[in-house]
Amino acid sequence: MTKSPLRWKLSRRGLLIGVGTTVAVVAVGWVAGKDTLRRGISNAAEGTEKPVSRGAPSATPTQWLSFSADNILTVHVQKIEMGQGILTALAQIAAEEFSLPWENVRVVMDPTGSAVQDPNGTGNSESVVSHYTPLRTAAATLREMLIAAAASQLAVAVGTLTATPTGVRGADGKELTYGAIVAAHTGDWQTPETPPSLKPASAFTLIGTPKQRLDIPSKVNGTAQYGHDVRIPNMVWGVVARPRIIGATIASVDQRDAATYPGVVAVVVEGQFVGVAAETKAQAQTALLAMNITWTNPATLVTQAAIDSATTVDPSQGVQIQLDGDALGTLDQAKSVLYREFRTPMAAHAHLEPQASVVDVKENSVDAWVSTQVPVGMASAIAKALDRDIATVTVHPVYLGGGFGRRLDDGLGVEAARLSAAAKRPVAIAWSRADEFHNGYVRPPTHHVMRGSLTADGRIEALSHHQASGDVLLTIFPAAIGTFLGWDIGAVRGAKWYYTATAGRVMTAQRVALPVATSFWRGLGLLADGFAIESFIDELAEQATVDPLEFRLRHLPDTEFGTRMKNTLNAVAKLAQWDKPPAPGHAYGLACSADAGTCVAQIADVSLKDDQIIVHHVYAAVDCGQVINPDGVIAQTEGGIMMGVGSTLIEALTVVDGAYGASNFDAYPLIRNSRAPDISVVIVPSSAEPGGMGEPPIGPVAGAIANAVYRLTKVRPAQLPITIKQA
Amino acid sequence: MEFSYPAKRILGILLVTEREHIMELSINGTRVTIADNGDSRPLVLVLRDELNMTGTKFGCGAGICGACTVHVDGVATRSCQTPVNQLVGKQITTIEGLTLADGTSHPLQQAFIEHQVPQCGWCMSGQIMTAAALLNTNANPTRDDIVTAMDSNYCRCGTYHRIRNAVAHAASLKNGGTE
Repeated sequence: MTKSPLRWKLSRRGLLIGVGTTVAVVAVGWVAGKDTLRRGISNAAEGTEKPVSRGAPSATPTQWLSFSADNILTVHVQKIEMGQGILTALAQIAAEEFSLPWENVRVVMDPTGSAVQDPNGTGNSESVVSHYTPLRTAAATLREMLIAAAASQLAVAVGTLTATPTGVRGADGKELTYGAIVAAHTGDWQTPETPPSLKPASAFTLIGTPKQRLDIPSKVNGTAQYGHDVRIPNMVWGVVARPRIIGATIASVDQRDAATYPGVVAVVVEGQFVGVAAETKAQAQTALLAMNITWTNPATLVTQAAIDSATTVDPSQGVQIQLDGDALGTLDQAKSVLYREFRTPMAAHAHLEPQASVVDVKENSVDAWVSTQVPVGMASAIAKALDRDIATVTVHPVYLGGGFGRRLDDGLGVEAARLSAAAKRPVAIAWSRADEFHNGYVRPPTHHVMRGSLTADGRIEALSHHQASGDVLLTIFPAAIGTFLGWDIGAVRGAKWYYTATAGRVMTAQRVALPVATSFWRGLGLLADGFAIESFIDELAEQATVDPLEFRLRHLPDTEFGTRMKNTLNAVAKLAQWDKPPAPGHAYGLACSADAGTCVAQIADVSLKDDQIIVHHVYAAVDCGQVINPDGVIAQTEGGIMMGVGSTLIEALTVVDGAYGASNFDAYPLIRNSRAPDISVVIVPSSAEPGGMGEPPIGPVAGAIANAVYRLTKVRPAQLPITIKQA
Repeated sequence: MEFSYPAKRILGILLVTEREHIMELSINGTRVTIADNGDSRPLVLVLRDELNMTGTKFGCGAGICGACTVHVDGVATRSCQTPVNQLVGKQITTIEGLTLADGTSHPLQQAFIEHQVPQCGWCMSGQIMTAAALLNTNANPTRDDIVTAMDSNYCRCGTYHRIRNAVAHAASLKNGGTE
């Protein structure tokens, strides 16, 4: 296990203070999670107090930041960089309270066990949201501690010191850098008695300022290290038997000869786990093939028809998770009810870096490099599989070649750990593209039944959204929780109505049991729900003969949220010149959605060429509250839009002959450059707290394109991907 | 000089190995020897698994995604579809070898940083190698030229329009422009 370079002390005001055990460094850490009040301040002068044991629940920080003698501020996190720019954003937040020159700031993805334990992993668009205030508070605390120490070193009162970008200046003009203060410090660090004041947003110089991403230089010269790239001495390659038919199990294995094959160093056959480790991948594959595994298929092969049939709204099923007024009664009585159904298919994550792990199981410790969004969960899973103490397992973070929710699965490192335990050497498992398509989990299919009515004066009277979806979040909880809840909080991201209705609104969530593994996919239910709701609202607007923008604006509430969404809609309308006609043969489609504290509105500029939908341009407006890195917000908006365009135009994973119908990109193509629209993004000024950006921008994409397609064809697209023949 | 029998035997094995079981490749201007197993294993696996040159990425293994793109004699080539035994005597260039002779970054690398193109970054070596091959043969590509060339490379993070802008910018940098 990686030893913490710091000795931590917990004390009364909720933060952890760390001091270097070998080099001059002072750190402030905190425990994030359910109870941030667990933070406590302590004072930890080297060698004078007993260090807090790492096992104590509140004594291991979730994140920390330090100042060292070389005047470098380092932020230590277990948030994983998968292209969302999180490391750079966190560095900006931390450095802001110091007004520090950007080149003096570092951010490090720490291994598990190195005084950082972030149980939350990276996902849910929440990294900036959850770090924003704690990181600033910790930074301000550290700043106050350094200033107090400087006053002591200069034998002056704190009030006589003024801050400089790199440290403090005394009344006599003498300057001390923060690094010099750390280096010269002896004795206890004094922690502030009262919470330090945080900079007002009007004084920000780093937060909200475009910064080049810290990870990008290594990504244009091939030096960035991903899970698939890890090479350590004495490493061998592992392969694992995986079923091709969904639900197939291993019936028999002929392992007599496998161990004698060239290069083979270990053969493991334990129940349904069959794997080989060998000097080369090819040798491992040859030996595994020689084992003549026979599979037992499920009694009934999974069919696409069975999945579609199960994913069907049943009016007698589901849980009403949003209910105000008498929506259903009103709809039953209404003279005219608009009724529409929408469907979205299963989809693959298709991150371009296949999953990979390298695990080195040693006698008393385990080191693992795993392409995972959840390092602590991975350490726990490996420890459990090997029956070891989690404190002896270190998961080293690596860059991820795309995550999109697929790398929240903690099984990956376990396979390599089992092979390494047998081989007594580090084992690498690198998934193939076929492994990815056949052995992952997928975005659940959905079915939406929408009903709505209008008042005589063209206002929305009643709205009903009944969604049937495979599970998303429930898949990681014990089955009893799903049974108790009856609905999946992940599947319904974006499913509730935020448009107002005079008589009432209802959203009904219906879990469907599927014979395939479904779970997290970027935005969870957001893309599907946005497609259904925004298509439906556009059609209601048409029935009311009101412009789609005006119709939305009229039906957003006069709340803070409603105001933000209206601002966002108006901003995108201005950006795309909604009030002017599109180019001849083109149509605009508008949609919006809210998620993770962020409002997004988009206008798609679309035309048709034969049977193909051409998305020329997508305009987007985003209100994500306080912006950290504007270019990061824009990049995430572009990325979410592009992934949404793929889902809207071409992506669907189907089951054929009991297996997923794709083993590679020939059968599951992604959007290529020639079908990728230009994108323009405007950030809406906002005084709200930071919202998430990883997922929200995917919400409106399908709805915006569908609404444009409808204007061109006068046929309402009813399913994704949209095809013109269907429409 | 007299060699003992074991020494002769070892020397003999080495000489035979030299003659019959080693293959020489030219990668980024350097001669590299790899085992010649008489098979046709793809270049991408030789680079990544045998030579630990992991800048070239594996994506699909089927020549579809373009993540493994390298240059063979200056031409953009899918290293997952290229058996090493076809590469003897040819010049292989990977992302690690793209740096210019004077040690500076390639204009494409500069442009990709300036436009903040990469997100996850896994496809970027392939994108840049594909673009570099384009600029080698077409110093002033139009937007259509760029789209046509770059259409061979997937980007799941969706950086496509930044790629288009960065390649156009790199072309201007290469031509001494400061667009």
